[in-house]
Parts: sequence; C-alpha cells; structure tokens
Amino acid sequence: MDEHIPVIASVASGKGGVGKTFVTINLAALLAKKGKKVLAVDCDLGLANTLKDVIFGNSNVREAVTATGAGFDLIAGSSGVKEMAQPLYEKIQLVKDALRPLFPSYDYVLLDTGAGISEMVLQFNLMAYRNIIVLNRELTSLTDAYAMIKVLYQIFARDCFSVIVNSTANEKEGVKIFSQIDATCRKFLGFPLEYLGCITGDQAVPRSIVRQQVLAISSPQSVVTRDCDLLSRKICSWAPTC
Amino acid sequence: MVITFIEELSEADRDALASKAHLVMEPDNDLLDQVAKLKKENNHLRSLTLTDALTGLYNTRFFTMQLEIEIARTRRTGQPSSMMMIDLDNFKLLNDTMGHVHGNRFLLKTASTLREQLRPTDIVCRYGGDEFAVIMPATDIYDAARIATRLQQAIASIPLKKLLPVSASIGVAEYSAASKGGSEEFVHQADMALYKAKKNGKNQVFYAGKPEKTVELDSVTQEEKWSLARASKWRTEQFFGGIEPHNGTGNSGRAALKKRS
Repeated sequence: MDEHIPVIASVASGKGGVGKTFVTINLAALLAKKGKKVLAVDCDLGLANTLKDVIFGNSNVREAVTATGAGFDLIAGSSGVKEMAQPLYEKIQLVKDALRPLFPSYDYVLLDTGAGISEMVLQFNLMAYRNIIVLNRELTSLTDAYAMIKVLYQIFARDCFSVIVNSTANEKEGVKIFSQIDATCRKFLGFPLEYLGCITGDQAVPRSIVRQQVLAISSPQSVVTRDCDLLSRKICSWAPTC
Repeated sequence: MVITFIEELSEADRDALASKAHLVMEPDNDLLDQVAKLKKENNHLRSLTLTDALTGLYNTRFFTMQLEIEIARTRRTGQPSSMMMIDLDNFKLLNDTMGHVHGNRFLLKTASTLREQLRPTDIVCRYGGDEFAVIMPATDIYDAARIATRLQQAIASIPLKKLLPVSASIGVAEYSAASKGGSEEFVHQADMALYKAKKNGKNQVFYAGKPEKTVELDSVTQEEKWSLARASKWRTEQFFGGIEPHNGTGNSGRAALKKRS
C-alpha cells in the first residue's frame, strides 16, 4: 500500500475573530471521537509558536506535537515572541517541509490559518486540499471571506471551498448568509460554494473559550456540539483529494 | 640620479655641504616611515572622497564608478548583474518625532544591517539621505529579489523605542547582456521598481517582471459588496450607513444616496 494520505483541510477566514480556532478545535475533537487520528496545527506564526523552534532548528517537529485531552494531537501557538511575525517565504516553506513527514500518521490534518490575506495564510491554504471558510453574520466577515476566496481563485485557481457560518441565530439565518456569498461567487467568479453548515450562537461558546475548554467535550449535549457534529460528519465523508 | 660619496668630494665642496647640513638626510631618519605615513594619509583622504561620513558606506561617487565597471563586466561576460534601491519608509516621521540623533542612529543601524545581511561581494552605498543602493555583481534578478526580501524584513525588524512604522521599500533591477542603455538607464529601472514598491503600500520589494497580480482586500469591487450585502436590512446599515439598496442592485442604491443628499 502507498503512503497513507490524510485529509488535509485548512480553516480560513478573511477576518479575524469569527471563530476559526473554535471551529478547528471542536471539529478536531469530534473527528477524534469518531476514531479518527487528527492533527490540528496552529499556522498563525504571527503569534510565534512552537513551530518557531522547528524553523530555527532548535527542535524536531515531532517534539512540537502535544497530545490533547480531547483525543487529537496539536501543534499549538504560544503568544509573546515577536520575531516570527512576518516570516519569509523561505521560512514558510521550511515549516511546510517540516510538517509534511508528520502527515502520514494521521487521518485528518486541520490547518488553522491566520486572519487576513498574507503570503503565509495563502501558502498554508494552498497546502490543504480542502479549504474551509468560516464566516459569521457580520458583513465585514463576509466581504473578507469573499476576498480570500477571490484571491485563492484568481491567483491559485482554487474553486472548491466549503463554508461554515458561525454564531447564527438559527439554521435559517445560516442558509441565508451562505446563499449571499454563494450567489456572489457564482455571479462574479463563476463557481458555487459548498455549504458545510452553520453553528448556532450559544452562551456556552464564550464560556468554553474563557475556561479554555473544548466545548464538544465539556458540554456534549449543547446545541453547538450538535451543530459541530453535523459538520464533522460531512467532513468524515471527504476523500483525501478534492 | 648620481650618487657621490663624501670622501670623493673636494675640500671646498665638503665645506659647502656642511653649511647645508640641515638638508642632508641622516641614516636614522626613516624615509620609509615618512612614505608610509603619507600613503596612509593619502588613503584616508581618498576614502573620504569615496565613502559616506556618517555610515562609512560607499558614496554615490564610488557607486557610479563601480556601476560602470559592473556594466562593462556584464557586457563582456554575459553574466547579469543586479542592483537595488532601498528607501526607508516614514523616516522623516522618525526624525520629526524622536530627533535627528535617533534618526542618525537608525541610519547607522540600517547600514550595519545591510552589511550583515549582504554578501562580501555586494557593494553597499548610501545614495542619499535615507536612500541606499546596492550593487550585486554576477547576480540575477531572482536571487537579488530574494536577498532584497531578506533585507526588507531585517530593516523592518530593527527595534525602535517608539512604535513608528519605519521600514524599507526596495526596488530591484537587473542588467543583462540584452539590456540596452547604460548606467543611467539601469539606475532608472531600479528607481521605477522602488516607486512601485512605494506605491503598492511601502515595506515591500518590487522588481521588474514581478507578477503584479496581488489581490488585496479592497479589490473586492463595489458590485460584489452590494451583492454580498443584499439580504437583511440591519447588515446593510452596518456597512453602508443606513442606505438600503433596492433589490440589491448597486445603481439603485447609489440613486437612493443621491436622492438623500
């Protein structure tokens, strides 16, 4: 048998603060719960992370991986160091090269890319076969997400995106928001988007973030967990290549 | 020159010579030392005419001389040479807010950063106030752009006491065997690239032939924004300040804007 290829998916959003990391972590936990081997990577080098040591040759990439209590592996970011804020193109390549050998031991790799449309964010999105775009009800998040899709399409000819609408009032609103960005994509870029689903806004979400808990584990009965579970089920059906 | 030994001279000549004793060189009077001293002084004066007083980098004079040499070399060997023009962004702001002493310090730091980051064969010059130029012999534009990016990153990360957006914009140009024109044209190309780097938003590298297809956030057109904003009212308000487009077509929205004003 050939080398095992995992499903590599990036989680992106044009705008910050729409819940990229929340989505990544909870999806990772739920996929892990289904018996998949999952690696979540915090690619936001802006917050200087464990990958820094790998780049500067201070440690092996396997040392950067920590097992979480939620059943998935994580390469985490730790804020505070400034020097990596704008890594060079070569450094991005180094990180990508360092990460690749880890992939065959997983079923799913989720890349949590940073906000904005920097070279780094684009590069990590290109590394993934699947691009998940997270947005919320704010119009700016919609335009920024659209800008991200447009860039990836125009420069790198990507036209296969899955959209998650985060913190909606109900399912109906999720569909409505999605249909706006989908219609715009069809009209101006000429391809449709895939609707992965929405996550209903809930008081449990900010609480879980404050407590630094994985919501899907700490409150498995919540509406949010149910929504995330639906998303993860769809992701489960993905083949490694798009 | 004729060498005559004192013993060979006549008595009269010896007396005449004695009266001019102050002109006679003593054997311990070190001629070589004097020559060395003069040479050193000469070198120093020469270096003053070729280097920049503040940073110690080469000056424009040397730069122009060296550029001609590089162009001649490229024409002879066919090996391309590159050069970059570096201009500090918002340097005036630093001078104005922190004073010229700090401004000069920053220039010194920039100069040493350039020296550290560049290869020994590269020639770094201070071109003007906050402008630097680098000649990179036997370097093609892609290598040059890579090096330029490294410099730009290094300069942007020079620490400052105040949070000021002081960074560097760099224009890169290549002189190849196929290039027409002389050194002036070469400098002009680097200048144009620098201008584009500035125009594109500073703190970046630009080189001739760089794909200009950089789609930024604001490249989402107005029509696309209208289309995204179509549905609900409150969201439209949030974005367009309370003016709702009719059925989402941009024109009617603008018409509504007109009507209001």
